[in-house]
Amino acid sequence: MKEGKVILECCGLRKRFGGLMVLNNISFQVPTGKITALIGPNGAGKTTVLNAITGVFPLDEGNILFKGHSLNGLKSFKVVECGIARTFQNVRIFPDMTVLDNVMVGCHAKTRSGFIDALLHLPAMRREETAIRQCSIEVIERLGISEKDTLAGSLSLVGQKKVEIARALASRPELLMLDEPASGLSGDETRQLAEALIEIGQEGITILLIEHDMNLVMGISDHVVVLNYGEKIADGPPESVQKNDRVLAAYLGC
Amino acid sequence: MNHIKSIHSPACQIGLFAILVQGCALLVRNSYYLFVLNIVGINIIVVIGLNLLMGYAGQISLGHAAFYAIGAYLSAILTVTYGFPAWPTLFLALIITAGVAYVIGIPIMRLEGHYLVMATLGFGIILYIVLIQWDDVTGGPSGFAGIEPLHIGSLTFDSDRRFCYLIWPCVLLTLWGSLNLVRSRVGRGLMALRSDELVASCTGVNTEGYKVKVFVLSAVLASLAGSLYAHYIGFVSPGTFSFFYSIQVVTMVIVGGLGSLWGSVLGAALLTVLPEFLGIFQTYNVLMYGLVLMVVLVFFPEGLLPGLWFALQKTHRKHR
Repeated sequence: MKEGKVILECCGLRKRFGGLMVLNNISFQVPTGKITALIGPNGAGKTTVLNAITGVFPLDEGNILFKGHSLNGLKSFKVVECGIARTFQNVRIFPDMTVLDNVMVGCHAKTRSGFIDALLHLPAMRREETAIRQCSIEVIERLGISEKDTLAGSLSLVGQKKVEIARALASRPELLMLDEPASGLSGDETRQLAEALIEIGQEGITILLIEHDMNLVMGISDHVVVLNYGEKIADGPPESVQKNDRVLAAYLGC
Repeated sequence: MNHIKSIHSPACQIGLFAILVQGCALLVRNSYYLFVLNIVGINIIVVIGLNLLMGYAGQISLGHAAFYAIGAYLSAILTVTYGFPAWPTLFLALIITAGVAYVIGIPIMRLEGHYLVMATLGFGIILYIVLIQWDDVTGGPSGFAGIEPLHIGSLTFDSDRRFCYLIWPCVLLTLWGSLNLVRSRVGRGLMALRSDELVASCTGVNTEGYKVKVFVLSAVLASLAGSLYAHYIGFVSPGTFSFFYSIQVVTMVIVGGLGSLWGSVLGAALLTVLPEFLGIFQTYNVLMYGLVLMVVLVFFPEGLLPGLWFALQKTHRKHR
């Protein structure tokens, strides 16, 4: 992968939970402006990689570079401020807040006003508030969510997944990481999702996709990384990964 | 549509509320009722602060009487023993309370659930013991007397009616600021934090920072109420600031509705006024108090105001 720039680089990630080696010396790169998929059987360590990148827990060893700067030791909210947004495996929206409020929380990383501004209702804070609202409504409309004032918890699964992606996009990320966005979606809904992801990619946002749906992965990704039992077993364009013996063995058990 | 929107703006709601309170104050001739109205105001300030912490950020404190005590005793000791001027002392007390809350907030706010309850409870009890044992400064169990009323220029807030014109503007200001806060970026961050801390953090909310800051804010409001209380009553004793006060304000928050600031106003008013009216039951008044609490919580588990609002919407829909 010599050509093109790299937005995220993971070098030698290791993580142990008790006696279990969840990540064992994993290194891979995410090229800028492309869709990269991170795949592997259940328990391969895909979500652990995401959690390590977003600072949910510290790594035992290894280094994560985002645009050349190390993310090691950064708190989760700082990682978002750097320009990395994510969604979660089992949809995790804020169910008791409205759709609009959910998405507006997503704007946190790029806005500043604090307790004093809010308490005193200062003009700077009101201007920022208008901007946040406008930006959130734009994202909501772009993702085709029609009910912005209902409680997010009362939406269907598809609706909630859209809200989660909208919330992530509201932070205006350079890298969007999606943890199994297609799980629980019907064929039609998955196709719509694929279109939406390609569109997001065309706007210059790099995507790191964790996914089980092989049609989706092979259909839209430019680059595929395969994990199995905490180790990287393949890395390359989708066509070559599909023919890789170790990948076939891991997936089909032969 | 326009006038519906304006009813939802904090300034308008507070304006209506101010007229209501002013009306009450003018109609009441009995100075004892004015006294109750003033205590309602003091409690509202504490309860609103606590609701920001409990109802919005989802963090429980059973030690808020301690911050109330810090405000009251600092105002009392510094003005009487050391002759400090009253208003600067009040602000100094706010700053000191903020400092104390910040220092203990950093370790305490890392705790969750029961552990947080225990830690705040412990802090409340430690402070209570200090108030009793350090008697050459605090006056010990017999209390501390001789605190002068506050004054602005030649206007001294020395009667129940005059104090009414001091405390209620403070209540309205607190309410205004808090309503602004919960409708802002910070308010959304706090609600996200209550809903799911990990996700809030991964969405860009500085969860640890917010928890400490909202803890400091709610402590500062309790301290303000404490200072005003000390200058109003003119006498403070540890009994007022015991564990039971912490429980009482938590109850007011829950009865009014977690995460509902107007609910806090209602909760504080109801539970302050209720014991006074229950006097007619004489020996059974504590029993009746408990009964009212139980009935409210059984029928309105989400709090009185959100519960009533929900019931109202339901009947409204039925009629249409």
